[in-house]
Amino acid sequence: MIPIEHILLLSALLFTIGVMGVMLRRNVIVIFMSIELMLNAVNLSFVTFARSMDSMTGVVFIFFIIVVAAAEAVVGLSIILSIYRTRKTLNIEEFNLLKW
Amino acid sequence: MSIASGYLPILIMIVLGIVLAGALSCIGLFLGPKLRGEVKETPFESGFLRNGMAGHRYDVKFYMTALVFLIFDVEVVFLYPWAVQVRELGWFGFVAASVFLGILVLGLAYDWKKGALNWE
Amino acid sequence: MEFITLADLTPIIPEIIVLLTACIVLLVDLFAPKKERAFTLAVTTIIGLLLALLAETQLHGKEITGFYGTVVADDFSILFEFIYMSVAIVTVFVSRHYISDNEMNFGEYYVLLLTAVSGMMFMTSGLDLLVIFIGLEIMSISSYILVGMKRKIAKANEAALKYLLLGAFSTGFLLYGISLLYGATGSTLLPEIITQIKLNGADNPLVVVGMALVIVAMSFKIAVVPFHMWTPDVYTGAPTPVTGFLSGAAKAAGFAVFVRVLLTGIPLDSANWENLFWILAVLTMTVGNVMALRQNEVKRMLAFSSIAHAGYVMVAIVVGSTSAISGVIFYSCAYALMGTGAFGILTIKDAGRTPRTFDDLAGYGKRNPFLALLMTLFIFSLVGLPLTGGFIGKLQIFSAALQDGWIWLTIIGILNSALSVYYYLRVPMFMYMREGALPEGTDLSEQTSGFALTGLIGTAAAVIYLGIFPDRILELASLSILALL
Repeated sequence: MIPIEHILLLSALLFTIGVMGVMLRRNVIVIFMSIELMLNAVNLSFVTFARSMDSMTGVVFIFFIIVVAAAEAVVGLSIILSIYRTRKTLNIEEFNLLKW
Repeated sequence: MSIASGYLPILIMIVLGIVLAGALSCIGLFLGPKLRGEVKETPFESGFLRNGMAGHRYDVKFYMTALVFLIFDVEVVFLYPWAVQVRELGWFGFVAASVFLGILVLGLAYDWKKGALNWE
Repeated sequence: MEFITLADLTPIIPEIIVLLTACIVLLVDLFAPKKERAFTLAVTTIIGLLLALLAETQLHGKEITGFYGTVVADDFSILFEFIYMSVAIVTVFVSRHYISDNEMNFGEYYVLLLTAVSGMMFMTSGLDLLVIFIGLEIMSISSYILVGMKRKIAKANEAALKYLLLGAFSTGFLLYGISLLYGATGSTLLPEIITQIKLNGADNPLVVVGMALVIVAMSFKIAVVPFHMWTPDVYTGAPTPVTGFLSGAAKAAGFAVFVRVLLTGIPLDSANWENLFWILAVLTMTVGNVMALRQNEVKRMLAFSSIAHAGYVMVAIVVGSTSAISGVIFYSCAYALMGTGAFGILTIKDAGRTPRTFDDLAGYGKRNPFLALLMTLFIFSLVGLPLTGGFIGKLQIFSAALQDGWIWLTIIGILNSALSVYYYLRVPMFMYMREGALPEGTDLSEQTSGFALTGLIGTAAAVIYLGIFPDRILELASLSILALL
């Protein structure tokens, strides 16, 4: 069996990639995807802990994270759609009507 | 078991994959006949004639359906634990699941009334 | 194995009432005839909220837990839930005309307001990090939509997008922190986590990093510097009643969770944590106030000042004594009222438009003497002048800080308060001392809606009540903290 440290490391790595993606990328959709990656890194870490401790709490938590992520994605994509309609761009640097 | 031996099969798979894919591409490059023509130059689209641009815009109605699908699809995840334990949870579980489904139906009614389900 | 019974529902009756109201409002919006719809929706919302308030009073003083100890109705949560619902009621009152003027007159507005309130209530009464997380997300997702409700206005869209991206980003941190705490202690139940940490010491790197991540995420929500970047943009771009709602209720909810997690969860004795919070509190107060000095837009000025107010509350959290924490509750309550009130005035049309910049306020005192009076009252309370709730709140926090020997922190806090006088008083100054040059033919005959006026007068009365008779609330607050510790 793979030791849990390795999976946790992978999860931390994925989380960091997600964070870097949010900070460095310019396209709103890509930023949004990076956030989803962060959430999935968390899922991995939860399931690892749950398995190593033989506890169900972590697994239940994942159910809720998945559903919340879906709800957030729906609202997020709708907002992105409506901003595209008014601005015709998805580059975050051009969204400067309000001082950032 | 040591870590290295745990990952060894994966390593073998990766190496094998690279070698095989590389070899097959090279064989095609060396042995295949080379013909050029108008038909050969067009992108291959599963046998159909090429039409439209790749950056072609989709109609917004696909978008609405996708959003509605996404939300209802994922919510069903909560029904699985109930379905697995349906006998142990008894009537209380049944009522709880019904309330949950009732709220989803309310959402569906909302979508319907607002016309999110209208295709035309 | 025991199963959940109906008795488990008792502590969340107010939440259920609010959610049921949301469902009813949605149905009314779908099926009621168009003519009287807008009025019916607003009234249904208010009735639902009042019923929930009534249910809260019945739960007072009992401390009931339910669902395996994951939710609780103790005095602490009840006090905070009172704040959210009062703010929501005021918001409904001031939104009625604003939303029909701005083409966002949808039933969804009220539904989302109600779901946001229910999310805050779950956050506050949750004893399990799972419940807190779900409550937080219900609140956040509802408010993302509320902020972007003016779909055709580019600024509103932009505000919603920024709020969404930073909100979701901070949620990622929160979840990662929770997962590490879960890994270290084997539970997501707060009391369980505390016992484990006390047993094994707080030095476990998983606990330290997990706690730090949770704190970062919560700091995003209550806009602590350096996690405040979204606040001015979102507050400026959002519809004004929603801004009031966010600054009053959403921040109070953030503080409630902060207090519950930090003061019952992590022993704040360790000097490192204390220093960190010290720095955050000072930064938050100072940056908020200094940035507010340079603003031309009233809404943006109020947004920055709300950051400064979060800084004062952080001072109380650093101090952490019983009287300081009752200061947190009292200040959240007072700020919720005066903030909602001040933003509420800005929702009302004056000379054909809603006031945006300071220049728009010129001559306001002549045109709307009564509204100008109310605005002055709210501003005085925000400054912290005596006879208002804001004064008592600051007094409570800073005297608690002095009692515990935080002299420098108190001095910095008071200097900051003094700084805030300058930009706050620009509002009454422009209203009373400047003559407004209006374009020819501006229609001045427009009547202020009775609906909005009722809400604002109620808010003003509450602000004065808190300023003159604070004892009752302070007593309730300190009692609720004893229950918490």
